[in-house]
Amino acid sequence: MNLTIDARKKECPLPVIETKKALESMTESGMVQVVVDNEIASQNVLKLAAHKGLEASCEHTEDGNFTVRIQNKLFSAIPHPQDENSENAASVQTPASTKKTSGSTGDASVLFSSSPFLSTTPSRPAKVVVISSDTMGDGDKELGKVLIKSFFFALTKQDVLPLAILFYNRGAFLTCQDSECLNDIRTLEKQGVEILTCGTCLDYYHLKEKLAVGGISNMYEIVEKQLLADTILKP
Amino acid sequence: MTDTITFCRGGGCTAKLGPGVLKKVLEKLPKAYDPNLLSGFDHNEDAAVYRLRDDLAIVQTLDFFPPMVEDPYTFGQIAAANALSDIYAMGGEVKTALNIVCFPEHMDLNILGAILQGGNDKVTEAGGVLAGGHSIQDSDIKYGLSVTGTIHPDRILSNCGCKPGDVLLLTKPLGTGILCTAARLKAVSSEQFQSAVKSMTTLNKYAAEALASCQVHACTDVTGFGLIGHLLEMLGEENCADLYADQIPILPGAKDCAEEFYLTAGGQRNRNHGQNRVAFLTSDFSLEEILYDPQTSGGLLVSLPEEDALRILPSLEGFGLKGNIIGTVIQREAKDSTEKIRVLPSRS
Repeated sequence: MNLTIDARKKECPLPVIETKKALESMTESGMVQVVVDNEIASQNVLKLAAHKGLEASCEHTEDGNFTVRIQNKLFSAIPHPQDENSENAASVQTPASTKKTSGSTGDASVLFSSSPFLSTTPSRPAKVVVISSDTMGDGDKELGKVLIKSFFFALTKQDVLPLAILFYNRGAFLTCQDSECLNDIRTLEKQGVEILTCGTCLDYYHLKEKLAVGGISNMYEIVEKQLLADTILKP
Repeated sequence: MTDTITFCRGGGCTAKLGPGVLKKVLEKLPKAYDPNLLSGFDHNEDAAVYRLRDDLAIVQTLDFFPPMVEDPYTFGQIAAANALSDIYAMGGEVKTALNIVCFPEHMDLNILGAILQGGNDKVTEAGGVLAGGHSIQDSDIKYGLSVTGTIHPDRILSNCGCKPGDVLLLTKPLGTGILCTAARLKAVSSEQFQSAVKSMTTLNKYAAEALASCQVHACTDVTGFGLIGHLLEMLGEENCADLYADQIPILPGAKDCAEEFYLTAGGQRNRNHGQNRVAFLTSDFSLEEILYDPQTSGGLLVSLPEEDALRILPSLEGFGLKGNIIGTVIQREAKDSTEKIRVLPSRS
């Protein structure tokens, strides 16, 4: 499904608002092509795409106009990798073998790499794990660290995995170098779980260079993922 | 009234030319030297100041733009408050004002009457007198004022000259550009719109009077270049600033409109101009948009010692101004760095 919007001779914010409506109206993946007659408007449309995490490009055409192309990704029913391929499921159970896993697991992680919440698939309910600390529970810190480590180990052994794990505040330490949970979190990522760490928190704790697994996220995404989840697990 | 104001392509200060474009043109003009011109093109001051005697100078400014609200009387008030503001940003006192009018020949003259009435009421509130004006036929409405005020030459408030350790005080909330743009597309509630109108029609006179007792190191009014643009100008070469995201006053509804992408061309121009010099240590898209948002009749941005700012904040609240201390001026650390402004989540 592809859409073209002619937003020439329209002043901001109209080109952006019309693009946003077009993206929201789409029922399947496809490209939205927006033609505007000035660079500022093209930058505002690109800003919309970037904010929504969609791939986009802009071309300054010979007629003096700007064509912005946005790849709108919608997700249909997504099979659980462990249900689909028992051989693969067995291999990812062992952390040591995860580095070499490929094939269907690789495909699955591609599928999960962007907002999968738009799908309404009953086979894969949207569960999200939220980690806001580098310890688990209130009380002794050392105990808390032992508990969070076992939490991630136990999570790798579950039949039903979350769609995403969000790390913020001191939780950001867990996805960075020197984290004792790193291997398990990497295993989860290989199994198709999206690993996202809050960018503000990485900055704040000067961890940006040390991030060792998953991607960097923002508050918009952190809120959206939680809002669209049907279960939020917060150890 | 049979006609209604038809909106132009973006009214108020969103209609301003981008700072980059303007700089290119102004740089090419020869600079006349007159020792009595106390402010000129050099620092892009808010208004021109010319010394007449050792104890007296005149302050002159001019501002006009297309409508950003539908009601003509309100538009007149906003355009006047915006034009008068430059006098206050220099620390001056309003004396006389002249109308500047562009109006379509066949449009209902009652609309023009209401616009001029709004303008006149604000000039009167400012303690000045409306002394005449000039009008021409045009396809779209535009209105504003040329204002003359007076000031003591030793008490001019410059738009640059802030000192490390100063706090940055902003006397009105941000978001008028985004809210007016969204309002044109019927995307804001009437309460949200009214609070924007209240802010835009409030004279900076009251903030300026409160500042008279303070040691002000730099002062400007926040208009078309947005908070970032005006702050960059204020910081000059020597200074940097930290802004605190949770301390920045924002009009109700403005962040929601930014999240819904009611973005102006002016805001994007301001972003292009400033983005290489700003580091956002927050991931808050709507806040970024609001810091770049062109303001119409925005508040004063003042660099001053913290104790002065804390002392006058309550009196600003008394005038219904939702101002706040939004940041701190710091010494420039690395000379080769282009980064001038950091936006932190909070002061901590």
